[in-house]
Amino acid sequence: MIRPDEFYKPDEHLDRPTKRRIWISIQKRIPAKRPLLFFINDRRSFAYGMAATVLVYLASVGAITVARRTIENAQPTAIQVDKAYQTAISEFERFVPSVASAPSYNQIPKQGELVARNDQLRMLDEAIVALRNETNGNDVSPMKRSRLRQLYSMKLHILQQMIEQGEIEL
Amino acid sequence: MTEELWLAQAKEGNQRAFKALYEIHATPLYRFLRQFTSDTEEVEEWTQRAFIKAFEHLASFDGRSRFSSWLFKLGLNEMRMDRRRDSIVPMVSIDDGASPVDNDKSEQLEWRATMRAWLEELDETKRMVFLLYEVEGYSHAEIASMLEIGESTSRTILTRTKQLLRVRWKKEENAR
Repeated sequence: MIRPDEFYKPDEHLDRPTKRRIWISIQKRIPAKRPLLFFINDRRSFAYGMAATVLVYLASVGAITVARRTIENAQPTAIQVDKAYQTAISEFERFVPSVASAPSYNQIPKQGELVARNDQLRMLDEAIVALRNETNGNDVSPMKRSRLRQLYSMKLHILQQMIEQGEIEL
Repeated sequence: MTEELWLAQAKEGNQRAFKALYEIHATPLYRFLRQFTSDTEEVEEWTQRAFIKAFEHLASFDGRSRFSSWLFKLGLNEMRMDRRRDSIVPMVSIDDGASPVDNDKSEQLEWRATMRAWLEELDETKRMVFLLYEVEGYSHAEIASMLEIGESTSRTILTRTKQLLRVRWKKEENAR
């Protein structure tokens, strides 16, 4: 066998610039592994489609919000008041979590009034939940609504007292 | 990293792995194809197209043959396609008598110096078989696959080419 290096003339070998030039031409013609987005042929259409999707989504969210508000506004005043109480109490509890996690009287009997108040709050919560289950959310029975408002009012009153007396750390 | 790994990655579309294969095989293919034309642009074109075809059809490469022999086949196909298009492909004639030629080591260097010029006077198929076997080191089975001829035909062509060259060499010696 003849050694290629001995047989071929030096000028028949592929020099670096030519080799590089050929590779660049090859590279242009062979597909590279690319992220998913690069496989999309018509990128402009894709961008328009994405923008349209975002607009449709925002419009849908807006429409749903408006519809929800309209429905809420159309509800009887009693239900709106009920929801206002619920929202006020849950917002308060969200920002002052120590109220929800306060120990009961049975667990720490020597903390006196604070523990008693927390027990009161817990009982009020239980009564509110029970009554709300009975009224099934939209029941406008005046008696039940009146009772529910009383419970909410009591709960808020207790919370207000606790804040005024410094029993809840803000 | 071995060629097998590069091949496996290139099959998955990895361009860097394919470039590694290009770095190894571009020069042997180019210098081989360069023997059949003086037009370097034409050789560049064949080399380029062979690699593009290789990338496009890597999935069909089953690894039973060497990647280089498969690539040479693609390169030769590109060359032949252009030749057919230009209708300048010379036909093979292999009907002259044959017997194997032994290499005489003492004459080897001088032999190689003049051989290239004589090879250029031979038809392309003889030149291809001679170069692929004697210079590039491919087996007759691989050459047969590349040139789409029978293995025995490849052997016969090589034998006759060597004989022609040897006869020519003897004439040259007698003339001195």
